[in-house]
Amino acid sequence: MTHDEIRESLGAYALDALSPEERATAEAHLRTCVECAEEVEELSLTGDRLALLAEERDPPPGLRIRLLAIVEQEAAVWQARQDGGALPDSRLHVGDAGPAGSTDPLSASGKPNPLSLVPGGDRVVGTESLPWRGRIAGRGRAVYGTAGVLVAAAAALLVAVLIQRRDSVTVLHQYACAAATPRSGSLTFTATGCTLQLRSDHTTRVAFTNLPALPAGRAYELWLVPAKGNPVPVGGFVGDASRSYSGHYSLDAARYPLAAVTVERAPGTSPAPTLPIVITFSLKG
Amino acid sequence: MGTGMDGLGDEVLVTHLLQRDAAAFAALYDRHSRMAFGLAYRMLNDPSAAEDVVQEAFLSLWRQAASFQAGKSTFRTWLLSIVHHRAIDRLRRAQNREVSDAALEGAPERPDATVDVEHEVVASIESEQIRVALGVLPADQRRAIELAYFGGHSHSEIAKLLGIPVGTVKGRLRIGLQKLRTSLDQVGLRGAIHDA
Repeated sequence: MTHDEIRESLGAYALDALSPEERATAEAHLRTCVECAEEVEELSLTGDRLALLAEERDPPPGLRIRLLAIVEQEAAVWQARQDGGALPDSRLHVGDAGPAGSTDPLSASGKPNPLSLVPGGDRVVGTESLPWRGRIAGRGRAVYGTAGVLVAAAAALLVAVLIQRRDSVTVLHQYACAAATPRSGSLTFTATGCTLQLRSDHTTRVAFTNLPALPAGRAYELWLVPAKGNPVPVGGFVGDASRSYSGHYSLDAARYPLAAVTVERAPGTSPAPTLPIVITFSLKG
Repeated sequence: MGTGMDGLGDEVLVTHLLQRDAAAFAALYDRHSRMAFGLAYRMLNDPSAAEDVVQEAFLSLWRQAASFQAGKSTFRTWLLSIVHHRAIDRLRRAQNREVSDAALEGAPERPDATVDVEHEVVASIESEQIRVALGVLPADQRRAIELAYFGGHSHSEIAKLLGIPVGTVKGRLRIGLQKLRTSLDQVGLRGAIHDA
């Protein structure tokens, strides 16, 4: 194509209306022709203005929560890398621990085991860990007073287990908390948690320890965030005196890429997650 | 949303994204998602596809914020160009697609929502100025531009749809954009869109 032919195509180029071949030819020309490069920049800026002709329109409400769940998760990974803490690639691979070698992560950390791992005959066949970050924005200490800032030391890495039974496999995703980034107006905390997806009965168990205690009239609730559509409320956590929270839900969390924990007035009362998200974590293996 | 980000300009918020600040992301989303979704919806005429495109665009923003060049365009223009490119990609992947009437018609009614008033006013003024500038173009140039921009059609597709030579389409697109640029220059809008 000659200079004049390409120049005649600059409007189509600016509006992304050229074929891939013509576009490549034009771009090669633009690298050497200042005159055409200047014109196409002007035309492109003008073309971009056309976007403002589209009327604003509310996106589906689930999109915001889904995007925030993703970015919170990625921010946690990024922060963990910055801090040199638990990294996604710091996966533990315990391997076969033997028939009686089931490692109970929560017991190992001195906590009761809310997951009720099947004793005896289980074996550890694989593990993984991911960092996640907890954050409760708002009035912070004033609201969650006695909980204060919990463990601020390095995050405890727990061991995730796959419990293999004779006819079913229990998959456990384990999340170890990286040190949360203190923020103005936020309560940071260090906690640990894990998610079990039971293939045998397609139920899901989730457990967290060291979550900040909530004031009366507030409860933690788990949401599953689909790849598309609105988050699905799962249920609340039942806490105990040791700040261990757990829940057992009749659904298969493996169908969802992300999960989120929020603070609600009561589980099951809110049609959509109440922001901010306290915890987000990936359910991908 | 009370994140403490409300008073910050777009370009400042983008710099926060480099530090993976999710609150800054939320502020940008709250400020621009309606326009982004409106553009995607107008191009695709499918709320589900538009949702996908907007999600891809905002994740691209989150993951590639460093590619934003503040001196070259405003943030909003940059973000909307991402939405536009993604929507075009989707349109061109679709098989047996037809001309989207919705792309050529006025946008649907806007639902009620809580919005940033200042952003709303500025956007409304800019939108009206562009609408006027486009309206004074000869109809054949305007239609070619709309088919390319909102319909995502290539010049050869436009030529086929309108029954005219490809060369004529190229000419209409270029001359139409040049006239549009001149009109926007006269109202001081070209390249000077305010950030919200």
